Amino acid sequence: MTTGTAHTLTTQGLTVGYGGEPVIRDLDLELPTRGITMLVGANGCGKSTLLRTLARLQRPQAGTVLLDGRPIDRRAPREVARIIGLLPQAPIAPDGITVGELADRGRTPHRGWFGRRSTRDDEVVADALLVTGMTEFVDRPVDELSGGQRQRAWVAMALAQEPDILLLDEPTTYLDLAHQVELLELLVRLTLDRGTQVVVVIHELNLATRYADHLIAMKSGRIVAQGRPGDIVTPELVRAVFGLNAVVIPDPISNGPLIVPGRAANAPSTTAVPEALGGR
Amino acid sequence: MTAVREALGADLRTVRVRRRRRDAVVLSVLALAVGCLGALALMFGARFTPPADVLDVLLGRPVPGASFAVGELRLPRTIGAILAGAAFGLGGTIFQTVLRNVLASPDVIGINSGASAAAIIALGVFGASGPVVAGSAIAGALLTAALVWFLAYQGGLSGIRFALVGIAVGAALQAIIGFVLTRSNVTQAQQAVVWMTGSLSRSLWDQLQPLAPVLAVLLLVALIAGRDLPVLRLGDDVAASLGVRVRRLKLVLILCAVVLVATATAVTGPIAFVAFLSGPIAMRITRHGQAVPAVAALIGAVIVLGADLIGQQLLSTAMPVGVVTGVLGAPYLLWLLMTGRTRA
Repeated sequence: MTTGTAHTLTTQGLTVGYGGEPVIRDLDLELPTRGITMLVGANGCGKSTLLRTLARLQRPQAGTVLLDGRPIDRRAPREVARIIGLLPQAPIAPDGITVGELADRGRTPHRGWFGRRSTRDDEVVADALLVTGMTEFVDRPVDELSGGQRQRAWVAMALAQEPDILLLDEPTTYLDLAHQVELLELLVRLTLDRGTQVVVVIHELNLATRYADHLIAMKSGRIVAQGRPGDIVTPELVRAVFGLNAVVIPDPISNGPLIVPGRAANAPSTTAVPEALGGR
Repeated sequence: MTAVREALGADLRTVRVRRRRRDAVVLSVLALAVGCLGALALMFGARFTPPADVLDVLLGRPVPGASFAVGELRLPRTIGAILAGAAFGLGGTIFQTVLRNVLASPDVIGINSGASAAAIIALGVFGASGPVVAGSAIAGALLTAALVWFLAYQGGLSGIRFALVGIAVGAALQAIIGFVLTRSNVTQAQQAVVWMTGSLSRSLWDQLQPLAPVLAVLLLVALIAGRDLPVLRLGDDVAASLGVRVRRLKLVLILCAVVLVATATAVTGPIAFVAFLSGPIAMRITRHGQAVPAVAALIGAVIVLGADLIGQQLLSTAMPVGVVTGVLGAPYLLWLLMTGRTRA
């Protein structure tokens, strides 16, 4: 509906952990102010932790997250929530809540003291439901929907929040391939139509390389490489980040890099694997 | 697109206005029910007092034969029932919502047992009475809550862990209660058992005076803080990303709820199942609306007032209110457990 304002979201010397070894170490990062940024890396590499810290759900042990140059934890949470929205991994909707009500909760940070809503509030929610294609489900309970529809209902809630920066933690998990593509195309449209800055943690590498404007590869809490997927995705990078031998060929549809997995680099060599896949 | 959006926006608005109206109707009906039950409680006792006489007593005019029964016995009993019921209802809903589990209600997780144990020790071991017992009950509930919290908190609140730890702590407290009861004399044991069943017969002015203002203020604070309960029900992460100060809110709410339940227990003893039942009933009739906390408070008041009327008037021998709520509540708990509907 409105075109978002560009915000800078950066980290300085960020160290985050849950007691014990830090998950993220001394990280300096400046997120692009437009397009889709995707965070990839092996399980436990700290990408979800980074996302949660950016949304101030996780307090850093050292360093700061700066939003437009100001430390994020010194700003009022409601104020930050009008700029940054986060959709956590596999959120659970309360029993019986309808799609319309769930989307409506997205207006929370814009709510006045007495909870009065304006016509604009309703139209923003309506818009969120339209964009996500959830209009026909408005009065249906979320827990009766399929996985793909449910995820779209949550995205509708996040959109009703009208964040300029939208962070999503593994939004494609539990979705079949068609719904994964559908969701990512929805995110692309958001960046184009509204200028929303989207940051996604994702496991599906080939979807990441196809839909990311900016790809960040992480390992052990550090950034191994970042840039346009076409510029950085190589077999060496895949091996360094995931410990996987792979072949990178041009994606026949997008012409970007397409990763064809071979065998795991540290797998026991009991079976013969074609040389092209990294076997011998 | 704009026209579609406006039309859908108008639809959403209609649905929301209708829902808000529904909430208002539910709240009014419940308030009316509390008023009617309260009036009945003032009229009926050992003897019937006509409404006109009740009104005269309320207005401060002396009425021979009714001034004492209504003004000194029934009025504090009714106010106690309303306040304690509301406190149990609201406190229970807060527990269940914050811990995201219906079973994590204060009466299930041992808070009530804590109040009882402390009160029984005060009664049975130290022979205390009145305000000392009430004070002990409050202290016992707070200590138990702190202990359960300490044992169950592991970097976060998990409803099911809270429920299990609470049930274990409650069992230990029941053992202490049993021990003290076997060691006390018959009169003290009798008193103690009545106390533990939950009864409004102690709700007299001298008991109520210090505790009623505390309950009233806490109810107000909890209702205001409870505005964000529907957002909290989306989960900690979503609530936080919507700008709610989750940690602080949870702490304030749980603290309020513990003190509410503790204070109410000090007035009436642990009335079974009111805290446990009110939230789910409120959830059902408001269909998860914003009004859940207020509705739960009113339902708590209705249950306690209603159960006391049943116990005093409809049964052949007068029964303490806790017996009635226990009989009503236990089947519901069983049904919940059997159908697996424990997520709040």
